Order: sequence, then structure tokens, then C-alpha cells
Amino acid sequence: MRTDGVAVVGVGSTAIVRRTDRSLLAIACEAAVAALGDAGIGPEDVDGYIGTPVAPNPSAAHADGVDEVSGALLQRTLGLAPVWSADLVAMSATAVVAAAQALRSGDCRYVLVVRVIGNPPGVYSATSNLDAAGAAQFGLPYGYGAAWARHALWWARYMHDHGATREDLFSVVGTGRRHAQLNPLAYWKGTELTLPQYLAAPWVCEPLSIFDCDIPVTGAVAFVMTTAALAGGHDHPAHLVGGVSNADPAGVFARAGVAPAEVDVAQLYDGFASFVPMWLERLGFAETGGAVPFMRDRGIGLDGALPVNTFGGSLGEGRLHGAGHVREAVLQATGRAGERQLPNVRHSLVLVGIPETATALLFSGDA
Amino acid sequence: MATTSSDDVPVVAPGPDHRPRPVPDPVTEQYWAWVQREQLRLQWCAGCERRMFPPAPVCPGCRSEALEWRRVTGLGTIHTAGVVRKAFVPGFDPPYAVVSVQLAEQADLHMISNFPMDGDAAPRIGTPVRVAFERRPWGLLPQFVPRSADDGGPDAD
Repeated sequence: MRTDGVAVVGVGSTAIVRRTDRSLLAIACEAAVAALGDAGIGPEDVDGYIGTPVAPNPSAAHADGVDEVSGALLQRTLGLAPVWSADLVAMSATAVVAAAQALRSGDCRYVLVVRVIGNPPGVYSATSNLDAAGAAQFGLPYGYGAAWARHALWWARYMHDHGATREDLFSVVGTGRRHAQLNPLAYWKGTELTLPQYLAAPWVCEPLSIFDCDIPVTGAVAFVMTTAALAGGHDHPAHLVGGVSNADPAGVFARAGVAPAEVDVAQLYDGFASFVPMWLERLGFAETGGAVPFMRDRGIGLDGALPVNTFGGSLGEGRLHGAGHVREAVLQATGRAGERQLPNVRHSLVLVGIPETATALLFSGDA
Repeated sequence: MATTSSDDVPVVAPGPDHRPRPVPDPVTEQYWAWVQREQLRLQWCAGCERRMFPPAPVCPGCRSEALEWRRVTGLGTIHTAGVVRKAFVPGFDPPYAVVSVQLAEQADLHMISNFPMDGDAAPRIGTPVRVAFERRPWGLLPQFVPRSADDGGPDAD
């Protein structure tokens, strides 16, 4: 096993709620300050910053500090003065790779990574826009949405090709919900989901129901990353042993020198439940069409061959667009995942993305 | 509604519509212009002998910008299908079906369409379809409709 020369040494999370009167800026600041505290550093130590300030639903407004939070605004608010700062149109795992590059370049010693996400009023993903421009011109005039309809149709074809059933997809949703019961932050903590409840849930776009879609929430996650040389001075470094950004996610194994079979725990982005079987196959844990038998026979629960989304996933925790997945990968790698901690985690994998742009990271508690 | 000007350039006249309407851009305007003449034409790269959809400024195989708008038969099959049962899009009342059609000419050409539901269920994957043109207040929109398996379309270029 090689290392990427960097580590996550601080994690900060806010409460995860459906909606709140608090400002998104205040929520982002809370996570950032918590991450600095967890790392044991001060604001003056932060010389790098990267955020992913994208309000992801198509009808969202984009007012800085209200609907999303730019790096410039957050730095001004917290009195940070990094020498390198960037805002990415990407998901959280991609920001981790960019931060790693800034650290390896020698430009930065401590990079703060922030993801805050809000849940605006109204039906998530609904649009009132009558002008279908760009890619939407070939979808919206048919009442077809780029996310919910597209992934429903992907799963319909998968079911057709491989004989998968709704009960099979419940192994993703039900497992996530069960794991969420062990995650104090999870939106769905305290609310179980049975197979009959799942099968009776309203459709969004058949064959995906409301429980196959992660629930939109408001919350923030922040990380402090540093170099391998400085990481040793911190209490619980999660060393990045490999990361591939918006590329073939299976490339993470070659980069890290670790085989899929050596992965102890995997956080696989589940904005839609159907993503999980897709990732299991794309990463090589199962062959094409083999994800359902893999989940059924080998298991993705805490006692399974490959525990998946041990914090509940975004299906169980809420829709932080992958920031929760990265957080859990770090916590599992460092033995800090509380009641849901797995024993002897050596290789902790996280994949965040959509079919075209996926980022995979592998963490280890060992340097 | 679509009209034709004296020099035979299709003109899309503005009109009220309660559903999203396509906004052509420099890459897609030829596609929509041909649709207004009831022709389904997709880009073709002569060098790579490949068709492209959705429209692109260059061929991904050879980076050529010399792309011809060539007619396709408009025949295909339903590659996958779903039923929208929650209202997200203005002017659409669930339930309604959305399908992705795989065109006969090339396996990677997929186009979204509406389609009659199969009772209360999604249209069946593999159903043979052909293109038709739905009149909306602003102009014509390609849609795919059922066809018999031996139903021929116009010849492709």
C-alpha cells in the first residue's frame, strides 16, 4: 500500500434537519469551526480552502450566504486568509482530491474543505421554468427530468436485463435505513422502514419510489486536511492512500495498490438507491448484472462481506451530496464511527458521483 | 404553430404553451429547424461514419466540425421506459410515460419521448416505434409512436 501523502485530520458536522430558519452561512461556519477544533488547529493555521458551493436542485436560487456559500464569503466571515482557495462545481470527494493536490504541491499546510447544502421551499426538483435550454431541451419538453426520470429509466432497463426486483433494491434502502439508526446525525434515525412500507410508498418515477430517492436536508460537513509530515502530530489522521477524481472510479485500486477484496468498508453514493448496484459493478466488486446476488449472498450490512453506507448513506442520513459519505469513510478509517464502527478497518473506500463523473477515495488509519 | 417563410426557412412562431419548450442554441438550431419540416436529421461525421445525438459542435472521434445533418429513418425500439407519477414539470399531469428510444441506425443513439402507457404500466421495453411530430403551440416536437415490426420509415441518408 502506498499513500497519497496527505491526511484528513479534522472533521466537523452540523445537525441535519429538513429545513431551518438558520442561515446557510451560519451552518457552514459551524461545521468549519468544528473541523478546526477537531484537528486542534486555529483559523490562522488555515492556508488553503476549497468548497463545493452548488445548490444542486434545478430551480434553486443562488444567493451567496442564503442558498449557497462561496469560499470568499466564508473566509471573510471566519477571518481566514488562505494563500490558495477555490470553489468547485463538483461533489465533496472531488474537493478532497483537489485539496490533496494543493497540499502535495507544497503550497499549503492546512486546507479547509467545506460542503454546506440547503433545502429550499417547495417540491425538490420541481421546476417552473418553461424554457428548456442546454441538455434539458431534449428532455423537459417531454416532462422528463434529468435526474429522477433518467435514473428511474436506467433502473428499469437494469431490472429488464438482469431480472432484478423492487425487493432487491430494498436491500439498499433497508440497509441504509437500518444503519441510520446507529448514526446520531441521521435524518431517519428513529424511523424504521419495513419492506411492506417500502413497497407501498408512492412512486416518483416508476420504478423508483420516494424511498429510493435521498431526502433533501439542510446541513454542513467540513474537513481539515494536511500533509503526511504534519498528520503525525494530530490525534486521528485518516491517510489518503489513493484518489481518482471524475474518472474511472475503479482506477482508485491501481493508484492505491489495493485490491477490491482488501476493502473493509465502502461508502457508495446513493442519491438514488439504484446507484449502489451500479457502483458495486463499476468498482469490480461484482460482475455486470451481479450486484443483486452480491448484495443478497455476500451482504452489505455491518456483518456483510462488504459493509456499505455504514452511516445510512444519503438515503438514511439525508442529502448532503456525498459529504456524509466522505465523513463516514474518514471516521471508519480512524475508529471513530461510534456504535457502527467496524473492527479492524484498514481500507475505507468512498465513491461519490453520478454515472459520468465519479470520484473514489481510499483512506487508511495507518500511515 | 410552425409556418414556412417565402425562402422556405422554417419559422417557429411564438405562442402560449404551458409545457417547457426547447430553446435552440447554435449547436442544436439545425436539429429543430429540420424538425419543423417534419424531418428527423442528426449530425453525421463522414470521416468516422458515425451519427451523433444529442448534437455536438465537433465529432468526438476525430474533432471534425464538418458535420452533415443527415436524415434517419425515425425507426427504433424502446430501450427503457418509466411512468412519471409525481408532478415535477409544468403542464404535465401524472401519470404519463417517458421512454428512451434506441434508433435503428446506431446503438448509442437514444432519444427521449412520451409514449402511450400499457394500461397502468410502463410501455414495454423492445416495443418497435417510429417517429411522429407533435404539434405544440410553438412548433413541432418529435415523438415516437407504436409501429408494426415491418413498418418502414423514410430512407435514411
